[in-house]
Amino acid sequence: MPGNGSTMTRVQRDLLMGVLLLVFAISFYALSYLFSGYEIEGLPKDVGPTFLPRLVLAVLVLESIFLIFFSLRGNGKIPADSEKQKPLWHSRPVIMFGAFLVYVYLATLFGYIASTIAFLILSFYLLGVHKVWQLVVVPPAITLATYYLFETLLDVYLPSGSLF
Amino acid sequence: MIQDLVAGWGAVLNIKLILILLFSVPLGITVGVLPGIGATVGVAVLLPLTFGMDPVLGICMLIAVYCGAFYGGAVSAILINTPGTPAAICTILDGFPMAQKGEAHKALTAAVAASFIGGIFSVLILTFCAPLIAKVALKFSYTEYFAIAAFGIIMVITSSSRTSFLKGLVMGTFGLFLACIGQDKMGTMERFTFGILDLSRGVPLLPVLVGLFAISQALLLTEQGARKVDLEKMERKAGLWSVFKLLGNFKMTLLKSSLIGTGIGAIPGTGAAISSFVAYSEAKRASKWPERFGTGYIEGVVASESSNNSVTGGALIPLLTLGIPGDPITAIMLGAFLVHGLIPGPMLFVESGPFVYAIFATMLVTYFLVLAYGYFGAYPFASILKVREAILVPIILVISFIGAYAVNSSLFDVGLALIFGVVGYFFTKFEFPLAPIVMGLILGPIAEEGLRQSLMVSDGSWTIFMTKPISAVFLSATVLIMVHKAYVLLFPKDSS
Repeated sequence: MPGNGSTMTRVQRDLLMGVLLLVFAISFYALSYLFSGYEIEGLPKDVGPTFLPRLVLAVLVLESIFLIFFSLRGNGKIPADSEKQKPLWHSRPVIMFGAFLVYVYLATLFGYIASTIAFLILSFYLLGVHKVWQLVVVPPAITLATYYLFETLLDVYLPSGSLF
Repeated sequence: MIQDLVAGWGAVLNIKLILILLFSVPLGITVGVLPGIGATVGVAVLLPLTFGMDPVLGICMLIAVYCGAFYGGAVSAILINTPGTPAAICTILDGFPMAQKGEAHKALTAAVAASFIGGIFSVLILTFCAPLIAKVALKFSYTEYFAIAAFGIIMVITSSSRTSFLKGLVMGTFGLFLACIGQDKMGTMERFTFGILDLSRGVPLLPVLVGLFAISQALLLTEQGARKVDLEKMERKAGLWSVFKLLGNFKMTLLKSSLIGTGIGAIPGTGAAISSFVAYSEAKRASKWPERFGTGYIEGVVASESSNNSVTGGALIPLLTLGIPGDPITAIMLGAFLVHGLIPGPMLFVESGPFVYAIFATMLVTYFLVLAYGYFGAYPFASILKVREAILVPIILVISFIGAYAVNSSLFDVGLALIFGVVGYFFTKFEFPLAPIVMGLILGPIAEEGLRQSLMVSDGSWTIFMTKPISAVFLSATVLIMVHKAYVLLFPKDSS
């Protein structure tokens, strides 16, 4: 059967996603009883502002149960294989995301130019660009080009901070 | 209409716009060439460029990128056996074997010529049909909008879930849930805002788009190793005119494929990959030599490329006439319209007629530019494939940051984009499609308002949805598709 290679993994992932979505949907369904504000009185036969959120979350609960059910049903049938060992995430996206988070924070502190140059140098290096001239020339060039394009030519406001 | 047409062309024959198109078309081809970037990510990443522009210039720039990217996908499909965009997947079947036979230039020329013909065909259909549909749509009430929104959501779910209908359904429902966040439009009730003021007006579309399509894709690209690029050599040059003459032998294929592409593109939630498959299969079925398909036969390239490029015009029909995007790319364009204070829908034709016709004119000019750039610059574009992910990923992330931040100068929007970047990353890893989330988020408010207003008008009677013909047709189609898909899900063939 085509795609068997990844099916076992997919089954486990579907199961995990099904459980997460079920918890998510039930939690938010319960939270829908805590809505603040008021409904406008006297509207003729309006289903009200809680109708769609609750309907959608009830459907999501149902779909999550189906997802779990089909995952469990498929689990016994489909053999595991080498794809099972594939990790759910790799270290590089995690590191890049961490660097991006720090970049966003630093951009508000030190401004777009300084933080972007630092972020680009770091991320190029982390992703395997090790030639010194590329690390020295490309990040400032990209930063200044984007700064000029957005801030000067297009009047798009970029974060400014204590540096520049 | 004639006045708007003339005014639209007047807006396009402007040196500033021409310069923008001269710059945007190669940019579009470039993002289309790069596997993993493609039209959706490309348009999402380039969206911030339009923020400071005049609305006509900004939207026309995105249109040019969009059309250019659809052709760009063929370059990598033919030269390295990897489609730059999903739409070019059928182009591989004959394009790459042609390249292996030393006919890479002929395949690329046929691809650009067929893209040109398909694109022009769809723009003409768009120009003549969209105003008529908009005229009809002006008479639509909330009931019709509810039905069309429901149909649009189910079509996206159906077509974007290659692995499982259930997963698409889950994602569409998740998108609808996101649409419920914020203050109730018909009252003051705060729904799932948790006291966060920024959420009162609902989940903003742009950070969601940037997160789901740009940041998540950048994170996924970091997982790939360096791309091995082994470009097929172009031994023989093919003249553009001789290729056009050759295409004369496939008039019916061109016509049928362009019709299929435009028609499928106009159905919300379908898209270019589906149209490409359908057109390729039809060309093979109708051919005198079906056995030649898949062996490096030019008609295969022609069918695939004319069809996927004709989707561009078709996909703009529901967006412009009803305000309902047909796919993630037009959803991003909807975001661009909203940033510029333009609300797509039938009123756009009434209030901003020249602007609408400027879009049509831009598409025509764009396809001439695609033809020129594609013919003369195929190999330089292909060399872009040698740019490493290590360079691309940080640049995408920086521009994503600008895109999320710039509209409201808001760190809340950036935070939201980051959250949706992670959500998109994991959903993609778990093989859950992202397009239904966006469609749910966009169509949710239309559906809710349509539902509630219709029920108020009918004094609570649900029969209102079946007594109006257009609503009845769309809702019946929605229910039929749901029932069919549920049946297939519950009783799969291989389990019997």
